[in-house]
Amino acid sequence: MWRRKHIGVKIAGYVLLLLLAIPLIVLVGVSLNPGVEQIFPPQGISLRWYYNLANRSGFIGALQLTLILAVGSTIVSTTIGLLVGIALTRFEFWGKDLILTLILSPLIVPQVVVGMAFLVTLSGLGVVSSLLSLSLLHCVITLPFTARAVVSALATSSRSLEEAAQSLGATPARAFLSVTLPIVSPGVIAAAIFAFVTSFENFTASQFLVWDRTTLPVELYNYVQTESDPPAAALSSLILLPVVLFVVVFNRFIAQHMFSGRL
Amino acid sequence: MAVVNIRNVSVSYGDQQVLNSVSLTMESGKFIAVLGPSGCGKTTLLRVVAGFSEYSGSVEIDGKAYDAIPPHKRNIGIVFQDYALFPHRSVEENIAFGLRLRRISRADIEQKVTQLLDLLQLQALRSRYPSQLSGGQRQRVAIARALAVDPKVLLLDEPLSALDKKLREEMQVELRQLQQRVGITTMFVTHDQEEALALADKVVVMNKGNIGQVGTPSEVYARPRSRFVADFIGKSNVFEATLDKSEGDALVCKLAGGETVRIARSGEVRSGQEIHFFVRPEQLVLCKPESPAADGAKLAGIVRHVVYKGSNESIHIELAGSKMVEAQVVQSRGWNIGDAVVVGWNANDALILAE
Ligand SMILES: Nc1ncnc2c1ncn2[C@@H]1O[C@H](COP(=O)(O)OP(=O)(O)O)[C@@H](O)[C@H]1O
Ligand SMILES: [Mg+2]
Repeated sequence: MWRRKHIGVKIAGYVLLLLLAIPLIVLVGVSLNPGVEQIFPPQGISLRWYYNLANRSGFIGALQLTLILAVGSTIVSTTIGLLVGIALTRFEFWGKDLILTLILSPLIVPQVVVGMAFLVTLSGLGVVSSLLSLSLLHCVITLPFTARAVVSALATSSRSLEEAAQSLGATPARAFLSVTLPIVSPGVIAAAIFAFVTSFENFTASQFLVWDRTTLPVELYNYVQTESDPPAAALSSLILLPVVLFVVVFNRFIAQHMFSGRL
Repeated sequence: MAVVNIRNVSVSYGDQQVLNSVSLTMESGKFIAVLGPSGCGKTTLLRVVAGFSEYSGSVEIDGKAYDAIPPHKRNIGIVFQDYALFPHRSVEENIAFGLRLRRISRADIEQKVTQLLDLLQLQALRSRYPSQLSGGQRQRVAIARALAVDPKVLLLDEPLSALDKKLREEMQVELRQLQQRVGITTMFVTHDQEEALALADKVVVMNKGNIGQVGTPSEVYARPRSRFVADFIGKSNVFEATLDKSEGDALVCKLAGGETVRIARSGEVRSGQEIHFFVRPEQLVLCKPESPAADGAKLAGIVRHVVYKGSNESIHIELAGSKMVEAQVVQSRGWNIGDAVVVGWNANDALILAE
């Protein structure tokens, strides 16, 4: 009885995975067509449309901006997340809960609203859309992931570990670096990867702040408004790439290390 | 070896006074047990000595004030209740942690670690990680790690409470032998009175942030000063009475129900004084009605409950005024629930509680 249920669950799982994967497989397949038709399965394998993309300066520029934003906001929000996490878990001060709620709020507030709010506020301040305003936005969007991961990692790592290190002669800073940091780092790395992907694929909020330069997801959206041909499929497939990488790394690296307590 | 002097140490969190002017001396090389119910401030006292807790008062080691010295410069070994082993380091690396911070040559570290692995019988586990160890093994690693840096004092926070009963008894013996071999001044805190009595040179009984009594295990067991200590260390039957007169080595007094009993004489007492006295369960004498009773008392009661404990039996008896007492008898006379019984004691086994 149990066994049959088990198999049922497995089958349901695979069907679900397939449903998720089919559109993506079709998308990648279409992008590999050598001809201009959008058909699946592809009639041959060719990277023609990827080269085509590479020759369009709009896409290359968008890719550059997207990468700059993703790398920059990941570094900034991981650093801030770490500092905020330490402050929230290691020190007592008034308004702790409020700060955490504020930091986490972009997770709950619809992205359209976040984007709108940034647009209105920044133009009110006389700041025109620029790399700066987009960077700010991406840091705010990614901070919840890093801050939450750091807070939960630090909260579960027992305080007595650092104290034990101190009793053995380590300064408080040394105790944090040699005991707590190695324990929380897998969680923090996972959060950083999550932040990177979140920034890389963000469309909804970003579209409010793009100016004559756009990010890759916004560029794709603009492009398919007017045309729908294999370059669009190639572009979409490229956006998928970091997500797939994320899943692979997450499974192979993080899931393995996050729970074993050993690096 | 070090002498630790704790003087008038107080700690409070908000309005809660957790330690209330605690003073205590730990003699060089002695094993001191701090015994008290959970929440009485034992861990806080350890944290004060280790430097992790803010306090008023002073901690002196070998005559030197330690109050301004941060934890990492105190050189005090501490074994936390959860052992606090570094999960990402092997047994060997855990033990070597403190040595590596001290500019000691690799060869010397290796030698010291091996020596400790031998001392605590951990040789076979040296490259394991904490998650691959049993509770007793973890505890030994935590002790080895603390001893590695030759601390002045060793502090143990309920070191045996996470272990099961049989292992706990084995570890008690081991811990005591280890402490004697290393000769380090040690304070261990526990809520288990048997453990404290079995292990310590000196027992400090704590209650709600105050020290109730300090003494050797036999002193605190045989001569508890307060009702709290009497109740906490072993079981005891406490009676309220009014003093009548002294008669030779005994004092004659009256219980609330009017029965006259005799108890051991002690200190200055005066007629008419309200007192408390106690009798240990193993010192209550049970007889059938009409047979000759002990000299101290002759109280009629009814057996309400019998608990078989293998080597002995504990008999719960209801006396007049629904007062319950517990007697421990080695060889059962076959007491049954509902039996009429006479409870007595020898006068010198019934002791007045000073507070
Ligand atoms: N960091 C803290 N903040 C507030 N209260 C605390 C803190 N640490 C301990 N206490 C309180 O102090 C009292 C004594 O705690 P503790 O020393 O841990 O007791 P024990 O170890 O004897 O069980 C408890 O009532 C506990 O709630
Ligand atoms: Mg405690």
